[in-house]
Amino acid sequence: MVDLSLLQDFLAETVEYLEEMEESLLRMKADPGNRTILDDIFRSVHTIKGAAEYLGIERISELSRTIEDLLYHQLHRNDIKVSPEVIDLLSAGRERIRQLTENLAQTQEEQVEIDDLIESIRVVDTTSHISEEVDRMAAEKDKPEIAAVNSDQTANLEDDEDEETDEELFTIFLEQMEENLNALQSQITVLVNSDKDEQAAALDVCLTRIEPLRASANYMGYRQLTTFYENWKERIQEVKEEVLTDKRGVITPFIEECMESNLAALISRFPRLKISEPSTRPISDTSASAESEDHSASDDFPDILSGSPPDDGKTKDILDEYADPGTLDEASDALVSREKSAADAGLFEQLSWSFDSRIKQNAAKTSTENLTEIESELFSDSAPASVEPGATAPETLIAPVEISATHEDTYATEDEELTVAIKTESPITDDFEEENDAELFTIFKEQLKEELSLLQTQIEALKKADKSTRIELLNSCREKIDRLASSANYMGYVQLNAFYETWLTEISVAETRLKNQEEGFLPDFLKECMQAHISSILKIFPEITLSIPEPEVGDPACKMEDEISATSTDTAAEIETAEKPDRLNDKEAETGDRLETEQQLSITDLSMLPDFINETREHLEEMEENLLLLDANSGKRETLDDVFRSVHTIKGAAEYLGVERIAKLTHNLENLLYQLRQNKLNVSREITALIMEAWDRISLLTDDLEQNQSEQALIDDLLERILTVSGAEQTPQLTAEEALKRENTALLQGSDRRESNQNPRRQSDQSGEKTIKQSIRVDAGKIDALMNQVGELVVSRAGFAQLLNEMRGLQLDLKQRFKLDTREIRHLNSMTARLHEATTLFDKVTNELQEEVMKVRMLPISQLFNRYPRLVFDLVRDTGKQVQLDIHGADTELDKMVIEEISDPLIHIIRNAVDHGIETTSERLKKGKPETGTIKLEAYHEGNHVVIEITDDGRGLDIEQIKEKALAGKFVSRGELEQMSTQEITGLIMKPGFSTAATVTHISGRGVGMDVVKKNLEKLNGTIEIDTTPGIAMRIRIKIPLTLAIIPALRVKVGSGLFTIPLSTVEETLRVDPEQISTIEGAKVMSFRENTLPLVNMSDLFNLQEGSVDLEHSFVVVVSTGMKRMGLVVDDLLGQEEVVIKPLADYIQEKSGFSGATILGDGRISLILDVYELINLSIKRNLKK
Amino acid sequence: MGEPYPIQEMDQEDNDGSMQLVGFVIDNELFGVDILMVQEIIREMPFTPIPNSPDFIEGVINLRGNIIPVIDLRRRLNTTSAGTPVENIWIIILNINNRVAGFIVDSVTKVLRVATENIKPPPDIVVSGLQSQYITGVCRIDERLLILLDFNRILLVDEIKKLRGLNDDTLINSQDDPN
Repeated sequence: MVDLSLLQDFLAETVEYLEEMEESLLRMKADPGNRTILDDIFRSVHTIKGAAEYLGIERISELSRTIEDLLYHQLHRNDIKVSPEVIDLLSAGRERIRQLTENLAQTQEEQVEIDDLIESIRVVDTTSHISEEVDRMAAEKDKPEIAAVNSDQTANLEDDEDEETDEELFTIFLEQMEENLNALQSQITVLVNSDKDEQAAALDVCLTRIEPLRASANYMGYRQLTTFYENWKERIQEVKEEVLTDKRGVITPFIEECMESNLAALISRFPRLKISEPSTRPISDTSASAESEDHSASDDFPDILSGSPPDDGKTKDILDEYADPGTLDEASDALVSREKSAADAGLFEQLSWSFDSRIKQNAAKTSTENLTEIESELFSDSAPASVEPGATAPETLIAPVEISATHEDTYATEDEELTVAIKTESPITDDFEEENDAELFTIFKEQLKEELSLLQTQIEALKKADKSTRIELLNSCREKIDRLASSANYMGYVQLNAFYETWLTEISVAETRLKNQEEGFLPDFLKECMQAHISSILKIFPEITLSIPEPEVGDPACKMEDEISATSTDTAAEIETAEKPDRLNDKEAETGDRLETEQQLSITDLSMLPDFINETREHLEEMEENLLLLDANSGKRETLDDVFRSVHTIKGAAEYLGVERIAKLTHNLENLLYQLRQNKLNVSREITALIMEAWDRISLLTDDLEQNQSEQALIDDLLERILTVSGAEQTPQLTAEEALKRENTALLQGSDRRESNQNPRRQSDQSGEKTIKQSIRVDAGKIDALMNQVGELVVSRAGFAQLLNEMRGLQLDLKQRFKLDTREIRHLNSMTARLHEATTLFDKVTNELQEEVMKVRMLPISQLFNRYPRLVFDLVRDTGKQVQLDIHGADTELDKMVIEEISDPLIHIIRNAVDHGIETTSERLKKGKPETGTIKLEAYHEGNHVVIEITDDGRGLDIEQIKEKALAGKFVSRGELEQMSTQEITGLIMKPGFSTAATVTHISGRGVGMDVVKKNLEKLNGTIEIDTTPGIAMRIRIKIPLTLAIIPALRVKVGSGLFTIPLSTVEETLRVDPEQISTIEGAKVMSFRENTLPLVNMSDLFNLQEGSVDLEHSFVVVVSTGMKRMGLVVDDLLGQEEVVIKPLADYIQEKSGFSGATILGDGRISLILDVYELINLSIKRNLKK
Repeated sequence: MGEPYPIQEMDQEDNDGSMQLVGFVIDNELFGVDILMVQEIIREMPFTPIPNSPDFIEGVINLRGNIIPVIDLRRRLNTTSAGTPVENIWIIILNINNRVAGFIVDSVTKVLRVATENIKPPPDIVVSGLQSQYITGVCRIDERLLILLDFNRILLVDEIKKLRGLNDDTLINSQDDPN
């Protein structure tokens, strides 16, 4: 999360809004047709969404966005009544957000799932309203077919905190991608085997397939992916033209280079996203061994395949080699022997335990069978292969690999175990994964991992358990295996399923034996059966993913290609990897990295961790500032250096402590920065954004470290992107090293690497150019307590003054009554004088103390303003706009409470300015404005108030448009509109539900923003003014009292009660003229300047029986909250006074119509009216009537 | 301070095994509250009633510049004799999880020291007309039953809100006549 302190604020706020929402929901149940209630709910949800988005709290923001959508559609429906179903959903949503908030409060993490709810909301939403978002609709359509998968899917993705967007969307995205990619794949097949016209047509199909992919990637916000698709499309377009103009040689290299490699890139990218889940312990060693195998295999790989497509001769060589029967035998022998040596030797032993030695023979037999068949096919197809060597060779080289996989599966005579075991060393392995789609397979594997690790723990438990629990444990083992069996069954792995069945039988046998009091067999059983089975499965699966094809090459039966079109996608991947050893190495390195990170979770020295965390945070803070600067001055050298230094320092420390992921991330970041410094890359917005993302990730990792001493956020996706940007041709290790050397040549000498890493940090610490502000964070409660103590002091000061007075009285008394002369009471005199002195001093000190403590609560508004540059940056990133944020008067101080309260309104205003105000760069240029829009944020004192001005030089407000919208939305009547001043018209934008935006974006456009702004400001007794010069500028001026503690107020009397009304809400006071009062529908109203003013008798509202009914001697206080106006009937006006607000206990204050209380001069208490609440209260009463 | 009941002083007994209570009396029933929660004990002072608040909130008082709600325990706990006030009442100011509130009682005893082992869980049946949910325990002191009240529960916000809700509704329903 961004900032824990912000999180606290967020939580407190959200809880507040949720409470409001709950209340509104209850009201809505009673009155489903009431739009104001819906507006209220909408407002709450919108605010929660805004804050959650700002803080990057994903689930809450996602959920609230969905709810908001729902509400939005409800608001815009003709049927005013809200169905109970929707209300239920809203309640459920509210409850879920509340749970998430609780999660956040307790663990700083969102734990409760939201997908089910989101889905049901969407279903209701779409059925009750025709969704305008087409892609979402499309997603819905896909859903039912794969609902089962989906739920699994989301469950799996859930752990992936890393996910850029929510899991739900991601799943849909993946599904869509899968579908389209399959289609593309089959088109490639068509391309290969067809003539010119067909090829052109096929390319067209490809184009139409890629377009939705691009659109969905764009929707998901994967910018790189979108560009990737765009490039692809362009390329296809080009080729199509070339094909049409009869250039023959184009199509084949194009297929290899573009289509297949692109496909492969996509496929390799996406499955990995999920495979990169942290694996459980038992798996990690196998995957480690797999990794090593991966290395060796990939070494062979290029030799076999790399040169082959263009080099016809070599292909032939290979073919010849296999054509020779002797070699074939050798190959199969080699296969078996290699299997034995490379795969864990234990695997075969274990396998043989469970299935007897026949397996080995079968293994040999199967592979021989396959090879023979492949061989024959190879011969039959070798002719076309040589005719069109460039095109088909790569296809044919790899395709058999899948074929044989299919063969093995379809033959199905052997145990799956066996087949799989063979695959582990045969080239087919990857295809195992591809037979079903990667998606499902990943899920399958995840489940496997999970269940197996559970099993493992249970086996451990079994070893120690006593008799009764043993049976229980065995039972639960059986359950787990049962689950595995059913998932294997679902995947169509018949043999695997059979294997599980056998296992189950074995367990049942063991169980019976246990029940028969047999004990001795158990250790053996556990070891030989359970452990062996588990490890055999473990061995099989990692290898399947990681092993690399061997030269088991033959020609495919092209006829089978259709069956396995999904499989052949992988072919492309293999070709691509073969052709680009660099890339392969990269990937491999990453795989290695990942495994490393998983294994080396142990951080060297936990005691140094807190220091590391603090230091990292400091550097991150510095870095963020510089990053924003970097964005502003587009890569000024010094700033770049500063960023580099921060990253480097973090890296050094992280490496030293063994904090793997941070080290890795910073290392790569450093490389990127180095290239920026070397001007090999230019500082672009994308790069800054990427660095910022890395920044976010590092701080996330730091939070992880703080909370559970381990790194949890994944970094692979980001690493990959950084690598892509920084370019693979660089040898990163070297450049970083170089940079290091240049940075500290002098320092490096004679010191080892670790020291050199730490040196720059010391440097930067010493050369702190910015003076570090000396400040401490104090719990606000402590300051309040201090305030209270000062209050006590003030009371005792009064006591002393009293004492002094009494002393003087005594002095006088003695003098006059007892006729003592001055000399005789000299002692007393001097004592009085000294007491006077002491009291005066005490007075002075107390006063100063009181003032100082008051000042402690005052904070510079920079606290708030500093958050906005990042906000603007984030907002601008998705738009074609350039915005500069100028901040003035950031050191203006005001009460902490006020600062907290205006945070939200300011966010709304700035969002509006960016989204609606500032035009896009091109638009600005057309208008003759400077390219970069400016938003000026200014704060200054004005009397007892602080004024905050937000000025932007954007398009301003369009008065005519507001008028139109106001009429269209029935906010005002035409007649009213004509009488309104410009000021009043601009004021309309603060009406709930009013929006001038034509379309709803996720940033704004729903007309909630300004309403929230106004409401929050009213709470603060603040005012808001809007000035606009259409087309040129817009200024919003907020005026708020310096402190919430002291307000000017009007004191009134109702019955025997004394009440205080904040002067900011009082418009005027009138004497009641009974003739002007009339009754409409049972409610009293008064005509007031040609308007009717609803009257509320305070003694009724507050149930004060003794309140006078005599209207003639009463007064009316006209109060307003801007939008609503009301006349309060009171008995008497007592005058105007500055009062100190004291809070009431929460359970009294809430929804009571009082915002606090104040203590009058004579010690009596007067309640302060909360006019806003009061108006609501009276409306509610009228509604209930 | 009123001292209607003799106190069993457990001289200097170890702190571990005992707790100190402030005892108070409502309608001849002896109650107790942990001394650490008690901020001070004051005599009656003028309340300022809060309109539309639950009926057990007697009002607020000005305690040296702090505004503190005062709760009528009789009404809050719905004791059998709810609503029969006594003259010369006392107000115990308690600090309950940093929420300060005053409670009206008839009289206050001296500090009582009770061995924790003597405190028994509340009986399921209703003790002198108050629901057992508000009782943390009971113990015998000099042949009298002392009831330890759960002030956290008494001041539970949700519960108060619920009560307010009821109150609000009845209030609105009863108000048929506008103005």
